[in-house]
Amino acid sequence: MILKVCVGSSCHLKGSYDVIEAMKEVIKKCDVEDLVELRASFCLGCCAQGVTVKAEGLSNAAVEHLENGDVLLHNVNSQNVEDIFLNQIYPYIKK
Amino acid sequence: MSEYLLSRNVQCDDCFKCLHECMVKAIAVKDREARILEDRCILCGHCTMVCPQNAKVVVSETEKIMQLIASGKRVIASVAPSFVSSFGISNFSTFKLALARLGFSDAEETAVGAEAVTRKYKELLEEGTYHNFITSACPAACQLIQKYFPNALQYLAKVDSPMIAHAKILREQYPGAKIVFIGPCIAKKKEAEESGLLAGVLTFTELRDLFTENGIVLSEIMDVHLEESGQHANYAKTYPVSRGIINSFQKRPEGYSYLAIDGIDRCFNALENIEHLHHVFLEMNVCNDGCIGGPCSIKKDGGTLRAACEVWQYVDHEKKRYPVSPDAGKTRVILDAEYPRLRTNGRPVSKQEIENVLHRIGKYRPEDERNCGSCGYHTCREKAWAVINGYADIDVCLPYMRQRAETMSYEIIRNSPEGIVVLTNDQKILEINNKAAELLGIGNVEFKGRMAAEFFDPGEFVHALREDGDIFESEVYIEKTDKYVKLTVTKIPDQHVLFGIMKDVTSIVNYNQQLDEVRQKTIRTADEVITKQMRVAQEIASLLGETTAETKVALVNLKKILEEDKKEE
Repeated sequence: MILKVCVGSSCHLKGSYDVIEAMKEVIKKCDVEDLVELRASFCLGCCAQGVTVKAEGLSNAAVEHLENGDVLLHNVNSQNVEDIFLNQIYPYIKK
Repeated sequence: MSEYLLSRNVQCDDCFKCLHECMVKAIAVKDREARILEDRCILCGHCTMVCPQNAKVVVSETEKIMQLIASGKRVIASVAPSFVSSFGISNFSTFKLALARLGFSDAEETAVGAEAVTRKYKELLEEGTYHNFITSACPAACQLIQKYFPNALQYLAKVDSPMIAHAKILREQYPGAKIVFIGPCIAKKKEAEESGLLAGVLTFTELRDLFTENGIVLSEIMDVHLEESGQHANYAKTYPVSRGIINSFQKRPEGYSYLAIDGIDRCFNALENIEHLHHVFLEMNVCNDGCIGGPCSIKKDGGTLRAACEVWQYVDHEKKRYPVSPDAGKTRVILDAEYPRLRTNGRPVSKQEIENVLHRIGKYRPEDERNCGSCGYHTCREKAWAVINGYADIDVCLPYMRQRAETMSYEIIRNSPEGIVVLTNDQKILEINNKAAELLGIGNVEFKGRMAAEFFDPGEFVHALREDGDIFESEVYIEKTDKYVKLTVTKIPDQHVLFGIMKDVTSIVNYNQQLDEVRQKTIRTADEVITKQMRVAQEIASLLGETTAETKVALVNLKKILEEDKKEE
């Protein structure tokens, strides 16, 4: 699966750099480096909703979370990255 | 995925023995029922050996295999070399005959496959591509690495296990034949099924039962040696004992240190430290002392030590009997295997989630986490992880439950509406609750351990101690607080303790006194009325008497006058 962290101007100002760093750590901690590809993305168009992360290619179990096949997670910050990753992404990673 | 190990639903309340023993915590104990988590289980079978209720059962394939034989198919047995110790015989021909009686068309020792595996290992070791080299003969060890030590996967030999190698060889030799592995291992059942090369696996215990059912006694079978042409000494028959694989090399390739690790805790230790090991050949067996200590081996007096001796002797005998062949283990069959990383279902948990769970069981500071292990998990945090993943009940925590029980009974005693006094037999105070302190007029002073006589008169207690019965009731007036108390003293001889319950009966006593007063007053009033009545009656009587007397005098006088008048006429 692919995780795209928005690095548009708004998200950048709201700390997407920290989010990427924290995300890297969580992915390493959960030992799924081989399953998750972390990328940066240009503006995802959710400038008013905090740092946005787009998750692509999750398993069907996550369908209810999906918006056009992908998941958009808003208001991500370095504090809640772990929580969001463990609860909203990890269970739906295709193994 | 089919099941290989089952947990029967028996009374396994609060035992946690299996969970204690399970190194990978592949058991969920919820709602008083232990369940094996297949995605986490490596099928080491430790739980089958420790369960006091024998609730862990190996799923038997006996029926399936006997049906296969009955169907007339050609079924060939591949027998693990630990048969020597499990069945106590050192002649494979005998074993072969016994298996033939069950309907197996042929049998070979799995050591044939093991020999090929050793040869393959040797090639790889000589190539030197492996930094460290972990043997792949133990399926539970492979599962352990695949599931829990992905870092060590690069060291795991990409070679088939002897069972798979042997199955491949047999399938090539006897096309169309069905192969059944017979050994002491549970994990082999899974390995066999997933390979698709074998028709099934019989454990030694299952085979023993089959022998018994069919009246086959090994010692009664003729002790013949069925010689085969070109037979050579098979060094790989040492595989089932620890250091057996290392000893299966006729000459060990140089450049590696050869270590044997047996027992799951030692495997853990080795795998955790694998990064610090260099040029090490690790022979890894999850069972203590190797396959001879397998969960489905037949246990006998002398244990695994005797079993090891038997296997070593068997191989020594073999070495003396047959010549060494330089071509041992040579085969056209390809023995390459893939051991991919396997993932378990439980998810990692965040610090915050763990904290939340710990708070719910009264652990707020690091020193509250006692890591006592009584719940079955190594640490409080591991337990919290299990709770979040739904593998464990949250309140199964001994310090927490104890604390809760103690607090509850303490609170009940402290706040009881009746006074409770506990004294030792020699009148020292053990406990006085709030109500009793109030009744006895004991202020806010430290009384525990001091003599009761300093605070109140323990006369009734002393009295109770001298009496015969266990329970002694009396009513006492306490001058200090002007209270009347109904005191029930119970003797607890085991603890040398007197246990007094005080019931405040002051109000009842007061009421009775008032009632008494009213009664007295009524009696007094009645008396007064009676005397008054009497007096009045007497007065009336006396007045009546007087007037009667006066009337009498008057009438007598009148009569006298009338008589005198008559005389004068």
